[in-house]
This record gives sequence, structure tokens and C-alpha cells, in this order.
Amino acid sequence: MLAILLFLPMVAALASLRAPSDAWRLPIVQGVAVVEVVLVALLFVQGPATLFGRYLVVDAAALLVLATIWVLFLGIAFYLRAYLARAEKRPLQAFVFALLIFIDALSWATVSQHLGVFWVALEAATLASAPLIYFHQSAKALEATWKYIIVGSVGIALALLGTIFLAVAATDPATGETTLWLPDLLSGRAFSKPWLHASFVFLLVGYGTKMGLAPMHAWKPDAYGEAPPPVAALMAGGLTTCAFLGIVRATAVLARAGEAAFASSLLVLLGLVSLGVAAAFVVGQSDLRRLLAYSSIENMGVLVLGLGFGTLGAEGAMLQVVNNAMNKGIMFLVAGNLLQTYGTTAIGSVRGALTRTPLTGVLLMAGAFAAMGLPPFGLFVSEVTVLRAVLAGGAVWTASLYLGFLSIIFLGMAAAFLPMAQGEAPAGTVAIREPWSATLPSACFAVGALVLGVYVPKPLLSLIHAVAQQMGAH
Amino acid sequence: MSSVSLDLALVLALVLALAMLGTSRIGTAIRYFSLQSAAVSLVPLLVQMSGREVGLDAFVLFAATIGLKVIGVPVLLNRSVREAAVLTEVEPLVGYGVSLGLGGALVGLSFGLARGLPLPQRPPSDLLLPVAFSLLLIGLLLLVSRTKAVTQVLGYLVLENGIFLFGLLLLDAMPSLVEVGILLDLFVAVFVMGILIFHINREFDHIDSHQLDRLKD
Repeated sequence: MLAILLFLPMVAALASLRAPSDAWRLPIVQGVAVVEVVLVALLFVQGPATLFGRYLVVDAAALLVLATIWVLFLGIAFYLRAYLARAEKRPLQAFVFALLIFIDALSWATVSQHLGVFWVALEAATLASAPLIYFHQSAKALEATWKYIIVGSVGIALALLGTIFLAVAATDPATGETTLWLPDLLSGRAFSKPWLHASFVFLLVGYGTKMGLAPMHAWKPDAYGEAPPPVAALMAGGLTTCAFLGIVRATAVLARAGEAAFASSLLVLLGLVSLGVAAAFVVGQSDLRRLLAYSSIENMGVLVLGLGFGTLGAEGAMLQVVNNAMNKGIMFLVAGNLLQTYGTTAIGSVRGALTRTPLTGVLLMAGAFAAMGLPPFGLFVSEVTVLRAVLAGGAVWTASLYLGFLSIIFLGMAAAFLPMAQGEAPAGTVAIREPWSATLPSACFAVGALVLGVYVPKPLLSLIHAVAQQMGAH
Repeated sequence: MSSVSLDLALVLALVLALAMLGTSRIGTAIRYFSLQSAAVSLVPLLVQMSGREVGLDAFVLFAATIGLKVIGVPVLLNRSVREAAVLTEVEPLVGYGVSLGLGGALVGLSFGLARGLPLPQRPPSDLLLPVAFSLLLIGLLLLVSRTKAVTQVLGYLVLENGIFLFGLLLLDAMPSLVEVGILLDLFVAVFVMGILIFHINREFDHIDSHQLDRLKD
């Protein structure tokens, strides 16, 4: 079953290259998405699955991330119908191929139990996302893609270095044998401490670049601002999540090696810097999609901050992973609708969305409340969980900075989002009827965000506990 | 015997990296990179020769590295320079002298770093770690101090060569399949960058990445 899950998108990608016309390509993507979500659901029922011996294993963290990215992809696959119908016509061959390879590479990364394989898969996903960002082929999109690929390549190269250092750290001085298998690394073997520390620094900087943690976030506002919004949603909810998984794995290794304090000091530092940068740039931001990029940097900051505070913090972070994906799903798809209705996502030019595009307007409000961290949406729960973990860890200063930055971001977002939805629409504005595929996917994400804010389903909760246990003291 | 040639290959790689900092022509820099890759890809063979017998996969990996880094990537880069019809100057942000001075300082720093990180096992050559760190840092320096898109790619590739040398510290931990995967990713990365360079040229009539500054807050 895992074999189908991992190879179907690849086969479909190749098939889509040979498809007779573009009319076939979108249904292929949608078909793959539906089958994959069913397979992931079956994995929940069936429990752990393996493929190629120890190489690919669906453990708790993998299943959590797999479910997140494929549910997100399902919504986006259907949204693409509305988006592409209203966007400037472009040949879809390369786009659909890259899209399927991208999501497939992400799936491979999540289930990799060998850190080398994880790296190869994540790098492949990065490369596949370049044509996606450049889909509209404008000069600005080119600039964004160039920055993304250069910054991203250097980042991922440093992550490779971190992976190599980890293997050096794990070398047995007597026999000289070493390993990059996660189960071996987590089995309590002895590490060379200086190399382990260096390895974690490089892994954190490398995968942190991919996540868009400040100060390695330079590519993010540009890429999210210029990529087609559905692609930006996939990157903000999928690629960043998988990169975060790399950091989760590395942190688990350090926690097992008794170096949790070292890991946590760096995680907290990067988390606070990211929140600070997000707070500084959310306020007064002039473009919705760039604003969402900073909101993503904020969420990434919360993720690593949570990871730095033991079991409870890790629980908050893993819950935040799912909530972040849902929220970015709502917001970027809404941004796509606004872009196509208003011709821009400049915050000053979009006014009265509730009047002009009623459904999108409502979703904008829902997504905005969720992004601002208001109850009853899921982000509220995960952000409060992280706060509880910080306070339980006795880090009062960290807690007050965390709350301070979140409040600034809250105000900045409120000032930007509310006029967009409620502001005065120009006189004589007639409400537009939007196709179902333009609004239904983000409506589903909104329901998901709402449900997660009220009640976290048991299977999900047990996965979150299982991942968080690895961060505990040993 | 082979440990002497191992040291030679490493020193050659380092000297070529410094030469890339000092040259003013893109074509020359690409040639230096190609030579450096040849030196770097010889290193794993030499390491294995000094110890145990050389397996078939070592030769396959050697052939793949030569094919990709010594021939494939330079050809690709030369083509994008030619088709983009760019001026062949490197156009650094800092002078060549300063670049070289910084490069020298980075090499010194690398020897310091290597001393600070004692290996669990004796490496095949005492130069391996300092040279790997040097390539890494010089690659980063090239990346940030040059304005042309092609020279930025070269910086990234030198950095990658440094990481390749680090990879030799663990010939066992990386299965050959994973190594091939890494090489393949690298090649696709350069391929994607090549395509982008072509588009940048078409869009802006030159490949000066400093023109890429319209997106800002």
C-alpha cells in the first residue's frame, strides 16, 4: 500500500507528460489526490507500514505529516480548476509534471528513515517547486524563483553538511562504523559531542532556510508573493512542514543523546527571531500575499519555539503543523480568488470583499480570525499549548516576548484584513457568483480549522503524543 | 605513495578555489571549477586505494562525478554564458585583491575549525578537513561577493565540492544509491539554474542578478 502511495504520483507525473492535451492533466492530478487521501486514511486504520526494508517506514511523525500534506493537496487539486480557468492561459505540461513530482518527493521525504534519503527527497521537492513558482513567467516571478533557488540550494547544501556531520558524530571510535538510520541514531548510542553540536547547527540552519525561519527567510515573501496562490499554499503548508520534520528528527536525536538543552537554546532563539521579524513586517504590509508569507514565518517561529520546550511544547508544535496547513490553505486560496477578482492582492486596492465576492469575503474573515489566533480556531489551541509549555519551562522572558510579538502580529493583521473584507465597496458593485471549486476547498479547510479548535480527533492526538514523547528527557 | 597524491589532489582543489576568487573571466572560472571537480572526484578513489581494495561502486561513483561535475555542469554553464551573450567579466562587489585576502583568511579559519573538531577516527589525510571547510567558506564568499548569476552558481558549486569532501569522512554511512541521488539532485539543480539564467537574460537583457531587486518591502 505504501508502494502505491509513493509511486502513484510518480507514474501519474510521467503519464501526464504524455497526455494528449491539457484537458486531461487536471483530472489526473485530482484523481491522484483522491486516491492518495484514501490511502493515507487506510494507513491510519492499518497502522505502521514499511517498504524497502528499513528505508521507508510510516511512523507517527510521518503519518501526521503525510495526512497534512495530502489533505492540503486534495483541496488545492480541486481549487486549481477554478484558478486555472480564470488565470492567463499557460501550457500545463511542465506545471502538472512538476506539481506531481513535488508532492511525491515530499511524501518520500516524510517516510524516509535514512537521513540521506530524506535529504535527497527534500532537495528534489525544492527543485520541482521552482517551475511552479515561475508558472506565470513574469519578470517578478523570475526574480522570486532565482532568489528561491539560490537561497534554497545553499540552505539545503548546509543541511547535507549537517547530515554528514551527524554521521561523523555517530561514528564508533573503536570499529569506525557509523550510521544515518533514525532507529540506530535513536537507540542511545554514544556521540562525539562537538560534531553532534555542529551537526545540529547546520541541520537547523539548512532545514530552517527551507522552512523560512528568520533570518534565513529572504526568499519567502518574494516566492509566496509571486507564485500562483495555490502553489504558495502548498509550499507554506507542505514544503515547510516537511523541512520542519527534518528539524524534529534532528531534535529527537539530540534529546536521546542527552543534549536537549543545547538543541532547545538554538530552537528558542530562532523561534523568537522569526516571531520578531514577522511582527516587524506584518505591520503596515502592503500586499496580502507577502503578509501571508510573514504570517508563515510567524507560524514557523511558533513551531521551533514549541519544539524547544520539551514534550508539551512538541505537542503544541505538532498540532500547530496541522493548523498551519489548514490556515494557509484557507488564506492563499482566498488570496487567489481576490487576485482574480480584483486583479491584485495589494491590501489598499482590495475593499469590500464581503459585498463583491460574498463567499470569499466570509472565508477571508474566517481565515483572518484563524490566522490571528482567535478561538475557536485551531491555531489558538496550538499557540496556547506552546505558551503553556514555555511557562512550564519557567522561561518568563521568552513567554512575554512570545506574547508581545503575537499581539503585534494580531494588530497588524486586523488592520490589514478587516478593511479588505468589510471596507466600502465602490458604488454600484454587483456581487459575483464564484464557481464552487473556487470556494469549496477553502471552506473545507475552514471547517477543518474550526473542528481542530474545538476537538482534536483521537487518532491525531495519539500521533501527536507519540512524536512528542521522543522530545522528552531520557 | 597514494597518501602523497591524496594530499596533492586536496591542495590542488584548494588552490583552484583561490584562483577562482582571483580571476576576472567567467570562462576561466568555469575551467578552474572543472579542474577542481576533477581533483575532488579523484579523492575518494585515492582514499580507498590507500586502505582496502577498491569496489566497483567506487569506480561507478567516480565516473558519475566526472561525467556530471567535470564535463556536464561546465558545458551547461558555458552554454548559458554563450547563449546569454553576457560580458565575460566576473564583476565582483569587492576587488580581486580583497577577495583573495579574504580567501586566505578563510583558509586560515578553516584550519582552526578543523583543529577544534577532532575526528572520532583518524581521517585519510590531515588536509581533508581543512580543505573541505575552505571550499565551503570560499564557495559562500563567491556566492555573496559576485553579481553575475553564473558566478553565483559557481560559488554554490564550490560549496558543494566542499561538502563532497566532507562526505568522504563516511564512506560507509551513505549507501551508493543515496550518493547517486545526491549527485543527481545537484545536476538537476544546476540544470534548473541554467534555465533560469537563460530566462533572466531574455527578460532583463543581461544576467546581472543585482537587477533582480524589484521585490522588496
